[in-house]
Amino acid sequence: MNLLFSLDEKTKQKIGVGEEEIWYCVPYDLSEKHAYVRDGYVVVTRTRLLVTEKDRVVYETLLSQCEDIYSRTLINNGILVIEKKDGTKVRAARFSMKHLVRFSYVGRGAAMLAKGVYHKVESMENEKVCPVCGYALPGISVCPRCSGKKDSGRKIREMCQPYLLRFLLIGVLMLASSGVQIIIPKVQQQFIDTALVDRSGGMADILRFVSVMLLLTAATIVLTVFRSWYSTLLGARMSKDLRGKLFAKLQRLSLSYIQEQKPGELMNRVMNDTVQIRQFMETVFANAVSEFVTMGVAAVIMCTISWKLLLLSIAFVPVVIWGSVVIRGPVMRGFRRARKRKDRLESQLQDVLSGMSIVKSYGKEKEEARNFRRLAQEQTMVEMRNELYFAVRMPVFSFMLGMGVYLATYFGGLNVLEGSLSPGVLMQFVSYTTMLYEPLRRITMIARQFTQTITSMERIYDILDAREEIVNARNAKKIQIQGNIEFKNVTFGYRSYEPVLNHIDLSVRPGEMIGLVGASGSGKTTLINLLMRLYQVDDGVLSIDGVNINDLDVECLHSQIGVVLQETFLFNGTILENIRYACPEASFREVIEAAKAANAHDFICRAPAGYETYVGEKGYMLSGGERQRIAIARAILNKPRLLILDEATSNLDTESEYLVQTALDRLRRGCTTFAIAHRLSTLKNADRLVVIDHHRIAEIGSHEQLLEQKGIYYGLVTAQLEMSRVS
Amino acid sequence: MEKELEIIFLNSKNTEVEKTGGGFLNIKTGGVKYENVQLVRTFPFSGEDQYISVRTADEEAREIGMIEDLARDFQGNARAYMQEQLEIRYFTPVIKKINSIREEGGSSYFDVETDAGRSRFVIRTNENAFIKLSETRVIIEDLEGNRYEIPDLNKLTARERKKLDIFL
Repeated sequence: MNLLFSLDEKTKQKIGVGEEEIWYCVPYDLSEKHAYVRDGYVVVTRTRLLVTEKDRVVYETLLSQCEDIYSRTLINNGILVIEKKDGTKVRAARFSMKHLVRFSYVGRGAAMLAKGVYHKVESMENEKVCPVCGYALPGISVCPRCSGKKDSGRKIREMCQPYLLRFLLIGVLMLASSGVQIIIPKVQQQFIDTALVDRSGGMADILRFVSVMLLLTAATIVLTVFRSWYSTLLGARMSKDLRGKLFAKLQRLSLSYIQEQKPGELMNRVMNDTVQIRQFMETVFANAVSEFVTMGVAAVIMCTISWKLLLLSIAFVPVVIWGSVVIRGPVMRGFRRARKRKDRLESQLQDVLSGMSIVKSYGKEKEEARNFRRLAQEQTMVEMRNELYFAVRMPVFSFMLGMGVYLATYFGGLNVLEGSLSPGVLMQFVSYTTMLYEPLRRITMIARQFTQTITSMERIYDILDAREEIVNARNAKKIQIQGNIEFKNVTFGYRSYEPVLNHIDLSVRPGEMIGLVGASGSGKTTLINLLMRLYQVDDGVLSIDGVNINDLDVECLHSQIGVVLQETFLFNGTILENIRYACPEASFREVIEAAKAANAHDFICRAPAGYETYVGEKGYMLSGGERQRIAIARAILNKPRLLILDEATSNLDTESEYLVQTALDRLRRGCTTFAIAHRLSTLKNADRLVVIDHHRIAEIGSHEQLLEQKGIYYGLVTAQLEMSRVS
Repeated sequence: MEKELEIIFLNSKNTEVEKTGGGFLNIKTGGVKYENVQLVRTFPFSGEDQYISVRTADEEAREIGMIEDLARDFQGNARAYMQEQLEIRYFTPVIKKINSIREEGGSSYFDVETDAGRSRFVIRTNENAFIKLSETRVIIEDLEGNRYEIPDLNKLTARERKKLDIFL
């Protein structure tokens, strides 16, 4: 993201920064008075901050007079706030969401300058919309349009490249089948003109004609079958390969990317957009392309027979094309409308089904049913109208194209009677006319399929081209983790303008257990996410055994981390497969040992098929505590060096909590452990507690030390004691 | 009623309002001065000047009190200052005229005239960028998170409505 927009020399002179180096220069676009402004900039030099409007300076301050500078998010806009050392607060500039992220960086940068830290802040974030041409950027850093070429061409090339030979083969098949189709009328013409018209032929001629026709028809069938089959095959293969690529890419993309997408959206791209490509190959590519080839050749031959007749027979084509173009708008709109209605209906259904217990308990069944009926009715109306279009359009267009045939037959027939055209040639001509029309009849369908496919392709490449945030550094290090963890001035936010963790400094010894305490939303889980490198630190350094986490091999890091979360997700499969998830090669004995250590062996033995009991979405039901213990067994088997427990024992009844807790204690041996717990009693074994408050570390120390401090932790402990006394 | 459940209503009788040099708002009520307070609309769509929550500037944003009806309970400069704060906090331009909507590669490019001036913005065509507040009132959220309002679809020309049709 650009934080240094360029100003021309004249403007620089006018606002008086001719000599100074400009550190940051970003546009703001709103005035105080509910109006967009143009040509307004916030300019930061080493010593000053200026707000300009056209060539005038409207506000100026020395950075040395500023206590803090930051951007504040309001509702659908933001402001740049300057807190002066004299205690006053100034709203220096106002901007739309377009510049929000930019200003958060610039605010941070200017605040650092004010504190005498001369470090340039850079933004790795991508623009959502190209600042130059306004083109929507799909999470990519270079605008494809501004960089010179629209890259649909590149995508098509890239997509087809691996299959060149297959395309070539299909091309040959297409040419061959077109050729055969073109020959058939010619053969008929010769037969009619030489054998039938003057009744000069004999039985042998008829037999020869029939067998040639049979052969040609058989050839057509064989060629068409192979053509369609290969195209379908190729489509299916491309779609499968794309799906594989998408899936692999999705796994490499950061969690933040995936969470930014709407639920179902990624599913859609992997499942449906790839199918669109296959359908295109099956329907359009396999048939339409060869039909167009046939059409071209037919037109040329018709022209040599009689260009006048050709013109007559295509007289109605412009009308049909015009008609298609005219109704294309309404048809497209109809389709979109139908899809939206369907979406709405589906989401309503989904909504009510998942909230059924509430609907029932408030007695709202009738109302919801009425709602649903109304939406269903609306959808039906839209679809009926769409279908009507189709029902009417096709026959009308076919009829109009048929008119061409009638015209050609009429005038051609006159020619035959005059003797200027032979009956066979007329027959041949009429056959070609129908070939001419076949692709035209479907041209709107083809156009639609084509746009849909291009859109699907864009969406697929949207993901394939997305930048991977978490990638292995070039010389990524693989280390055996000892467990020395160091946070140095770490700052991070899921959205950069809203830091969730601010200036975190923390140093952890190998084998130490750290309890993380704080209100929900204070950043505990975020801290752990950073440690797992699910996200990238924005600022500062996080290191493990002295190695910056960004330089560690991601896979190597993850293979040494054990995780037990509040809710354990079990994959569809057996208990065995779930326990073995991280190390599939573990022996039965190792699995049982791990399960025993996790207090899981006994309940597993009670399950109907022991370790091979099927669990997961539709499998054997396990209680929350049992799931947790399977997760612990999974973690134990993996022999982690770093252990992360995120509310691992909340939501459990006392007995299973005890079982889980003792299992965890066994798992913890020798591991550096980070544990988050709402219930403070579960952290009593922690060597040190870290209290996070307002996105910063507020207190660090042992249970006793923190109680003595009588700070936040003390408050939390007493509050929980009160609660337990009341209940 | 428990003390903390009570709604404290602010009005010109119990509250003094002053604008700071930096463009913020200080108020004094119940003998306490609060600096740089925030005004929050609790019903931004259906009652924009009713039940405004006045909150402290710090991160906790504690409620100092509520204004039941700004037009009724404050007058003169105090009201003007508060209106101004609300205007700045909430920015949702109202679309007056749709110059064009162009669709390309899954995105729709809007060119519109709003009550804050001309604006060009982008939405994803197939995502639900349109939020229907009622049958005729729509909020559009663009790719960058800006919001625009069309208060009454019926006030647009038939041509403009047709352009919007596919999104509704």
